[in-house]
Amino acid sequence: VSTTTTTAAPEEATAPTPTKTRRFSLIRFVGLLTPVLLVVGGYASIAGADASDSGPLGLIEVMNPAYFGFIGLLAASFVWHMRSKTLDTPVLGMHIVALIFLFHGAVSWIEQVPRFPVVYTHVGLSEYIQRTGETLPTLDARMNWPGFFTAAALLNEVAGVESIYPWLLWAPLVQNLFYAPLLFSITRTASTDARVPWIALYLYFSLSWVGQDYFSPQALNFLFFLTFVAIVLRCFRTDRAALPRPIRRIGNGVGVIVGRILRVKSFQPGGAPILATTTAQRSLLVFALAVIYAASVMSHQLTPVFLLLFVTALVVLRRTVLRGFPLLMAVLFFSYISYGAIGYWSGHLDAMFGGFGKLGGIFKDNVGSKVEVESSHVYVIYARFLLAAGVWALTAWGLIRRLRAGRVDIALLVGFIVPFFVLGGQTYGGEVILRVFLMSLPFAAIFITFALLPTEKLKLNITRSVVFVLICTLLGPMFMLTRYGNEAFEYVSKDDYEAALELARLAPADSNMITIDANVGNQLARMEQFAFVVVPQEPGEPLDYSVQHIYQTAVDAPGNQSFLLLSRSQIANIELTYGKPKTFFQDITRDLIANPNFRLIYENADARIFAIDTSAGTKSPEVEDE
Amino acid sequence: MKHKAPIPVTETARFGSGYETVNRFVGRRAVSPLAMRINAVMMPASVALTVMTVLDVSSDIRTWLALVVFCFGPGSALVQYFRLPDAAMQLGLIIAISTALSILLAQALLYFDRIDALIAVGVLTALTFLHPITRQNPRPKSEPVKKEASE
Repeated sequence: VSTTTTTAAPEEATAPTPTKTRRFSLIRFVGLLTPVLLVVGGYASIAGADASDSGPLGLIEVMNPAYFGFIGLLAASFVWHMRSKTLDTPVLGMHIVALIFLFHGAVSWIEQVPRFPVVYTHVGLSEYIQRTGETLPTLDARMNWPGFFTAAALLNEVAGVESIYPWLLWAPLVQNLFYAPLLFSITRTASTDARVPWIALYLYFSLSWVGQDYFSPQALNFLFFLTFVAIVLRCFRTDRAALPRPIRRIGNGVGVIVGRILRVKSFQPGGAPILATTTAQRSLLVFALAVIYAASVMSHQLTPVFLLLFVTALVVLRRTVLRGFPLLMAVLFFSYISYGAIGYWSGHLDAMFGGFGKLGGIFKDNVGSKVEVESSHVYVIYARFLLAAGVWALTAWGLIRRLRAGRVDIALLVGFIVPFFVLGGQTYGGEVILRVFLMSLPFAAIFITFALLPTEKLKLNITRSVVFVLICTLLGPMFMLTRYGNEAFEYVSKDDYEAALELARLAPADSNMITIDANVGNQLARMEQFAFVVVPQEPGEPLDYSVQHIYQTAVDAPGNQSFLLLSRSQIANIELTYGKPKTFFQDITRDLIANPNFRLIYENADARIFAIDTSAGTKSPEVEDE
Repeated sequence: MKHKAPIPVTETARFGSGYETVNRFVGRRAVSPLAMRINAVMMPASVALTVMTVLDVSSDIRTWLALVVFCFGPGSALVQYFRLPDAAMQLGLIIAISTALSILLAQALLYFDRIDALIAVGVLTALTFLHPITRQNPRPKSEPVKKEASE
């Protein structure tokens, strides 16, 4: 059994080839028009949906079932074109764009305001840099990696605006459109079969429920990640170099065992030919990789780690010719950490490395804490686990089918496995599993495609076509449930935004901004001038949202004046996560208005602002001691 | 009609530490046509943005131009040097390089305490014009190719 040296025989391909014909044809015209009509139909079907009516299951509760019908029709149209003798690139590309519009743009169409409270914090961080011309690492940990926020501040300056807030509504759609060509380049490296990249791309956008594509450093860094992977796999991959001796022995042993189990005589590298480049081109591409990695190092904590691990693993397994590049990456990474992020790690070494090796704790933070939800919202979390487990199981199945066809894709396998190594590092605020899923998804989508079409010889027959259409149709509601299952509290209404903006205008410097829950987008402007205080809750004790407790929080807060902001996103999170009744907002508002220390100074349909008179209060003994 | 034999575009060539089947023909003849077209749009866009920034025009058009130049401007010029024939790769690289350079530029301006719209637009516009300025003119078709001395 050989895993390395056999030269791939010319394919006995029955797979269709891409066409470059530019002639007008009725099929092409219909093929281009159909996705457009389906997007228009899909958007029209949800035009009356109101995201504020989302319940414990999220946005799926307000979606018109016809919308999912349009998703099914798009999948059917896509498969119909995939079955033709020659693949029409513009037509298939239009289907992918339509899918992105239906899955990743529909919510922007419904909500009309940028979603996610954290987006407003990112706006506030950019506003600080734009206003002061400097960063403030003590203000927020993210300021230690300010590249993204500095670029946003510079963009505001160049655009001549205080904030590009109105343009952030469509950020998820635009970012996914940006990802598409890079994902296509990555998936093209997987096989000489021209159908594989298209199907993998379709699956990727149907399965990408993690939702890290909002206005954020990680969204931009995912673009860098994809660019980096695309260049390495497309221009610097090598499939036929012999493995290092110790790994080769193990690999041959594993190859013999796997070969016997799967009854395969020999394995051949399965990837497509790399893109031919001259020495000058390769030098320029290496320089581009260095520039992109430098930008990534300055703007995000986690992505450079994924990239460093990915390239190092390829070098160790001799699947790339960029042998010295991990050294340059390590120098860039540790230089920045030592200099730019010193303010963070010097005081948080335990937070950075304390979780190293503690897989149990990481699992509890990422999984266990999320299922402790006291409402039917828990089904959203179960659906996410189910989908992630399903994706990984199908990936394993695709890998087995590929191996049974005698193909081994080491570089792709490295891309899929390497993100999991980060799990042994730290919890990353209980989000590391999300990032691992996201970073491994492009490779998982390729292997799932191999489960359907492991070799070029197989036709996309009726059975496979029907299975694919059914899966893609079912993924419509599943995507909506998993991706927008939190919409009840991740949705930020226009009234929420206007109340937060009004409070930032009203409050003098050194004020306390009190909220009853952290799920609020109130750090829009002048964020360094305020103390943002969330009413504390004792672990293990019943939740206390009494007026007296809120008042004592205001008294204990460090600022001069105190303001309480109640908003829809806070209330929704409390109702869903802690099972508070639907009348919670009315009850707490009534109690606050009845208390003489609280004065209602602003209200709209979704939010209230109270000025708190703390002159009669006395600080808690523990606060006095501090 | 006489049938033309297809050009053999693949060959096995030595590359790095292993043998790879590479598309050498495409590699030698490659240009970046998509980057060229995008750059042709970006050049007037960056000039318009510069003019609007100098005149301090407050308009949605300026915001759109700023977004477009930040995302596509410098990359559309620099990717032409790579001469990659793959359109998807060109498009992805244009966006990634443009945004990466915008981050590095912003960080440099922050470091020197000079976050300034005019400097930023000037640098981005200069980068957008880099390839057209440095491009060597192709040899005229009528000029005969000089033979090497060794021949």
